[in-house]
Amino acid sequence: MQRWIISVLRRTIVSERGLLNLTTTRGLMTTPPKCAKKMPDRPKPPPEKEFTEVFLHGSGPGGQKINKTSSAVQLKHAASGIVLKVQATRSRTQNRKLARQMLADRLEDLEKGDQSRSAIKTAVKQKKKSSATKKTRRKYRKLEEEKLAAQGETGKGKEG
Amino acid sequence: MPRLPHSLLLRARKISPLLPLVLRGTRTWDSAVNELRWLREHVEQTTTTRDSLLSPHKRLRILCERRAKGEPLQYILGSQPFGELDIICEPGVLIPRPETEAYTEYLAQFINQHHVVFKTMTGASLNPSTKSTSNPLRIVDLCSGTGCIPLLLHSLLSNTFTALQIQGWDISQTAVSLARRNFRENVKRGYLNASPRISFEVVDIFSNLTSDQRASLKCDILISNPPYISNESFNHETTRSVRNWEPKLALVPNISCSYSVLPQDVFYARLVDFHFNLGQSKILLMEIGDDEQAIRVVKILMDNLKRSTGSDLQNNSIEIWRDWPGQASDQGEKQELVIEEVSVPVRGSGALRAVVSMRKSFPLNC
Ligand SMILES: C[S@@+](CC[C@H](N)C(=O)[O-])C[C@H]1O[C@@H](n2cnc3c(N)ncnc32)[C@H](O)[C@@H]1O
Repeated sequence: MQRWIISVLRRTIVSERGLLNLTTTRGLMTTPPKCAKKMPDRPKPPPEKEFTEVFLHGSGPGGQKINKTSSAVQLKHAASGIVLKVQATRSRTQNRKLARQMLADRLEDLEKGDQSRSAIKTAVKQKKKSSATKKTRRKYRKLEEEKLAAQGETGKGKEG
Repeated sequence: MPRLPHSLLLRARKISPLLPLVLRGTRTWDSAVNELRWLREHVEQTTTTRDSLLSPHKRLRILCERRAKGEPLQYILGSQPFGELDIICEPGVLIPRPETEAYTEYLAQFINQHHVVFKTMTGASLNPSTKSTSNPLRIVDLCSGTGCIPLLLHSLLSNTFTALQIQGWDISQTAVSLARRNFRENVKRGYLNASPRISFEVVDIFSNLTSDQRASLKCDILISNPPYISNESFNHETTRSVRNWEPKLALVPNISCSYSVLPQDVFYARLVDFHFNLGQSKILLMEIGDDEQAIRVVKILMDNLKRSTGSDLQNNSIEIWRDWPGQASDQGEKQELVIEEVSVPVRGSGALRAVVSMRKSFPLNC
């Protein structure tokens, strides 16, 4: 029973990290604190004037007639051509914050290439992945989840 | 209700055997994928409930089966995020909608931007040290349901206004109890400042109001998302999940009264009456259901303005807000409507969602 709970808890952390990329990595067994320290600071989102924001919602009546759960947010950054969509959480407020952070990360990627924070992070992750061995079960779960999330990304964003 | 295509269900089954179930509830691919993820996260996070003897997979399947029958996700998970708050949702009380969240945030932003004007008008204090002697900014939300509007307004205004007094009224005891619980829970979790002055009361707004209640309506801001759906649209335009699971009392007005308006508009007649003839509110904000209703409500406002002697069209301005009032309007979306030869500005993008009447004592551009 105990072990079962722990494994569930850990899985939650893993999947949330995959989705949100925001949870601090400190305190997790799989990530020694020293690599958290190496990480450069998170880049700041650009000023609000530089991008446009759209809340994705389907056609249809809206208001009281439907109880939709869609909270998707789309940002378009004209200067770079970046378009991104965030529907990670049920909270639009939260998704708006996540979207701004993602935009900041991508802009930094463009600017700094493999010296950007996210590039360094991916490199660290890759290294860890190759040393991982007996995590197949968990990995399978995660893959399934990523597949699901990816399916969601390619969808039309329509809401019924 | 059209059947889901077999190919779509097959495609869903390949991803997860539970996805077709959720898809039956949501009817759209994107929401199904999202909702299955949220349901899974919910199961993983709640390990202490009474059914924790069941395996997580079994528990997840049970939740997905409920969703397949059309039960709203918010009732299954027990909550709906609303701004920075988390609103508890239970059968018997309407689930807060994203459009309501959007105009509530926009209104708060507007009040914050014009806080100096509001404070001089109300005598509310700019200085925290004189808190006890100053007049608070007073807001009343009629038909308050879960309490989402008063609670979100408080969370967004309390940094600018040291003194706030917010009331929510609803005819339903179930709703008022839930609103009070939402108040306590959000304070407990630190989403709201300690000891805010918010109260929820059972009031039928069509009853004869007590003198205290009348005094309360002489507030600064009156806001309401009243029942506004006609019987006809309830049967044909609401989704299955709304029709079968949410309370009809919250959706369809069931009032016989002396106002000469369509049955689905009676609450607006009452609200406009309160605004002009009883209270002295600076702002009246009313959610509406569609374009035709927006126009009818603007006309109700104009009729009242013409009739009442003290306030005339010159001293009041009427606006219509779309679903996302803070966003730039899309191509082809009108930015004004001419109603009875008066030009009414329309803000934002999306469908028409709220009618707002303001006293012209402050500059109107945010
Ligand atoms: C559309 S719901 C709005 C709930 C909440 N304000 C929101 O936005 O989620 C309408 C509410 O009006 C309440 N109601 C219906 N008739 C009423 C009346 N005569 N007086 C006061 N409240 C009433 C219902 O109980 C319901 O909670």
